[in-house]
Amino acid sequence: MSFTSSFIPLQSSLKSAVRRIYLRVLTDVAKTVDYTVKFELKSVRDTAKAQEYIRRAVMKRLADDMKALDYIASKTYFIRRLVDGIEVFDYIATRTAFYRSAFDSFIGEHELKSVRARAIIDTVKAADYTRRKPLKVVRDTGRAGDYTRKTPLKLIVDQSKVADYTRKTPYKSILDTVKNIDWHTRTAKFNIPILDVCEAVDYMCRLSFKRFIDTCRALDYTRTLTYKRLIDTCRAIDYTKKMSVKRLLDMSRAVEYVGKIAVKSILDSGETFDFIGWKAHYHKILVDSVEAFDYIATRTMFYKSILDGFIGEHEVKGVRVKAIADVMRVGDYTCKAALKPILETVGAVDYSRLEALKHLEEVCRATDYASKTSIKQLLDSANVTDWYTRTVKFIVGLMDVSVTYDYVRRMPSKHLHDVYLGADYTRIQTCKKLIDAIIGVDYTRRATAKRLLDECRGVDMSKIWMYKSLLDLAVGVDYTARYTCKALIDVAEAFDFIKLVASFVRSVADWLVGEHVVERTPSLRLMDSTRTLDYTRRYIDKQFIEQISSVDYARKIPLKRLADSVKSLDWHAVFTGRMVTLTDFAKPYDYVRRTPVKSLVDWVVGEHVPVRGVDKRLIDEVYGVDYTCRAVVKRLVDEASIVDFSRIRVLKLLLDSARVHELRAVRELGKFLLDQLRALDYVERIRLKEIFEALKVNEMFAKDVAKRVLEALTPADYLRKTFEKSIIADAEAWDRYSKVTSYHVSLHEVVEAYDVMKKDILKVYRDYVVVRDAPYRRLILSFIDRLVDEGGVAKIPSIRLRDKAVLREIVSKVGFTVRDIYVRRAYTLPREFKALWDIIMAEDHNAKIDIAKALLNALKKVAEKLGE
Amino acid sequence: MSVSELIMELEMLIEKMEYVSNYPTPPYYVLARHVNIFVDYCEKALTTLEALYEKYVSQTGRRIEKVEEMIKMASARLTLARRVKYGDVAYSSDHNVIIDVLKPIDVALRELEKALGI
Repeated sequence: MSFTSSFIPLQSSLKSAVRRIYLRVLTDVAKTVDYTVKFELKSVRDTAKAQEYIRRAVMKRLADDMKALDYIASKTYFIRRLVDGIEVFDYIATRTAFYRSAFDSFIGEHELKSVRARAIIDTVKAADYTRRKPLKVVRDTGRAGDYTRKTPLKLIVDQSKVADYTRKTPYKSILDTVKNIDWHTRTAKFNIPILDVCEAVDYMCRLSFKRFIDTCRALDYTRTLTYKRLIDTCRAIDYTKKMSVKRLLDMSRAVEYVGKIAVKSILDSGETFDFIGWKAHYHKILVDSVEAFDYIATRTMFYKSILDGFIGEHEVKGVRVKAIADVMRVGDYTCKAALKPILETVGAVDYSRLEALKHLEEVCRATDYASKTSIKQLLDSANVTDWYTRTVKFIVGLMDVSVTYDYVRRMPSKHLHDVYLGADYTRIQTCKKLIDAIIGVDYTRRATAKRLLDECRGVDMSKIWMYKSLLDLAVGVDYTARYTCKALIDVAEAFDFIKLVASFVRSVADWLVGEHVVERTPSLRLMDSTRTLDYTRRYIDKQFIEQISSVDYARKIPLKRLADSVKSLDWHAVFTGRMVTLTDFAKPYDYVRRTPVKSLVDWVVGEHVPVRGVDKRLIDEVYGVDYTCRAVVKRLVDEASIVDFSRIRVLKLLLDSARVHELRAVRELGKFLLDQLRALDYVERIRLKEIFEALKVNEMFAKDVAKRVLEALTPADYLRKTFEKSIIADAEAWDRYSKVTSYHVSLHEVVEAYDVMKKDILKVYRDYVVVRDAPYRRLILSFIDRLVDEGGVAKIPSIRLRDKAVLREIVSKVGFTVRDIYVRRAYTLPREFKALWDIIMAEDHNAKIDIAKALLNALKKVAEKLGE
Repeated sequence: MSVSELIMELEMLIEKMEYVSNYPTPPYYVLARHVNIFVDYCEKALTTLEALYEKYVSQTGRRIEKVEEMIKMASARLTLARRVKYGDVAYSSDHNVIIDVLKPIDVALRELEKALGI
């Protein structure tokens, strides 16, 4: 009793103590939970702030990229203006060819043509060089700009992925923590370690954000620097283009001015030549008149002397006046008779002369019309000069005959002499002006070429600086690529299961395509990748066709069976309708009612089992692939965060070293870049090989899936046949008693159930195909984007210039070696390349003479040997 | 016409040929007569070559296919040669045809020299 009486208060006090302790523990737990909840809320708030900062940074960079895209659009306008400049060059070339042909037609002087042609060809060469150089610079700038545009975007995407990962990780940790808290709350065994975990999570979260923010700042600095240098380079190129176009236009104006002066001089010379020809014609008429007059004078003097003789005789003798008068009359008659034919002769001669002159004038007109070249007119003038010389000699002889004709002789000769002097002076002045103009054009061409060369050197320097800055960026990216590649190789080696390798290799292929922009020689890799793509496309098509065939087979078989079943059903209904009466169905009514229901349920269950097996296998495969992708992505993200940190450090070091020793750093970076490219090339080849192997395995896997689908369809077909048999056996009861019973299952409902299952199968298969083909679609899209971006910068002008340059190179090398003497063929081109037409040089003609002599010597030797 | 007469005519044609220059020493330019002289020279040279080849065949009784082929080629190309009249423009094709005729003549002569041991 005493023990009991003493135990009860002890028990109550113990209970009270335990209750207090329990309450205290509960209070502590509540406080801890409250603190933990507050701490978690604070961490979540900080995370939200960091996310907001990341979002703003990403938006700001996207805005910068939009500005860069606007600048690229303005560069497109610049390229369009450059194409306009090329059209101006073509116009200049056309004008040059026109003036050259004008010179050839009007002047025809080989020396002048050669000099002019050389000057024009040099001008065209300079214009061609000037046109090629800015285009090359623009093309290089476009490529670099494209690379510069893509790299920040890719980095931003990577950073977004990392940010997304960083954002998700603390949430996941928090979730896990909350689960742990919940568990610890239930078990009442949590306290300080949870806080440690929360602090660790918070620290990890802050560290990740800090790293990310540092990365963003470094990227921002690099991007700003690159854009600034690119913009400076583009401004320099724009200025160079404007100056080149302006100077070429000035040069073309000078050439046009020279051409106009030359044409005017030629026209003046032509008028002078016409005047000389007309004067020569006049002088010839005068000479013919003088000859006629001389003949008449001679004849007149002869008859005058006869008359004087008669008269003298009359005076001396003084007799026979009448006879003398008769004689005089006779003489007078004789004189008249003689003079008459003389005058007729003179008239005939004059007529003949006029006819001859007329004929000569017509001939001269015809000749003048036929030739219309200055060479001919010059040579005509030379003939006239010869004729003039002979005429002068003749007139000198005439001077002894009569002084009267002296005036006639001197005036035309002096006039002709003056005319020739004037013509000579005109010709000399024309030639002098042309030579001066050519010298001026040559000087202008040289000065322009020199200035263009200087500016091109300046552009080259700008380009070198731009390349240097781009190399800095590229080296950083390559470094990242190497580390990522190494990490990927490690990950790939860790995977033994071949399907995981296939998924992994597809991811690697995506990555490699993204990193492929760094490559400077993409043709070989593009070819390999194109082969891979082609192979991938073919095998996807093949697989798809196989799968479609399987599905089509799976679709057709049950439909055919159902159709057969319906036919059998009809036949049995007719057949059993004749054999069984309505009363015979009373007893087996229940059995009959239950049997189709049972058969239908069994069929549905049996049909669903293989289908569900197929579904399960497909879903398992999808889950496996999905899990593999997630595991690979997680490892890649982990590796990327480490690589990103290393990249930031390397970039910083490189930028510092580039600032201190830029030239040395450039050389080292170039070497490093080459090494990285070689390593990338090697890794890429290995990856391609692995991709091929993985594709083979994937094909085997796809075949296995198709085989399993077909195997699953076979028992389904068997079950379907069983169901058909039961339907055939119960057909009559099915049709006849369905109206009087509450049996609700009909063939229509069975078909609907089949359709539902078919849709499910197809949906699962379509999802599987979508998941399977996603990496290939991304691969193809990346390739297409890259090809379009790189190919669209300077395709049109580059093709045109390349064709011209190649054509010119080919045609200038054609020739023969005859008797060890090289002689050039003067090439001819289509009319559209008129500016490139060739001329026969003096060396070509002289080489032919040497060849002719050598051939003659050879013929002589052969003839001697044959005894000739 | 004998071979010696043909060679004499070829020598006369070569005497008529004139070197031209881009410098101010006459004659300056490639004129129409220069082109015509070369056409005459090619005709005579081809006739001489044919006569020499026939003599070679008659003496040795052997035929050289390549020489015959080259003679046919030169004859075919010579039909494209154009005589230039005074005042006409000498085109690049006029220059090229002469070179195209001289080349097979040279090849045929080399074959003959090789066959005769020259």
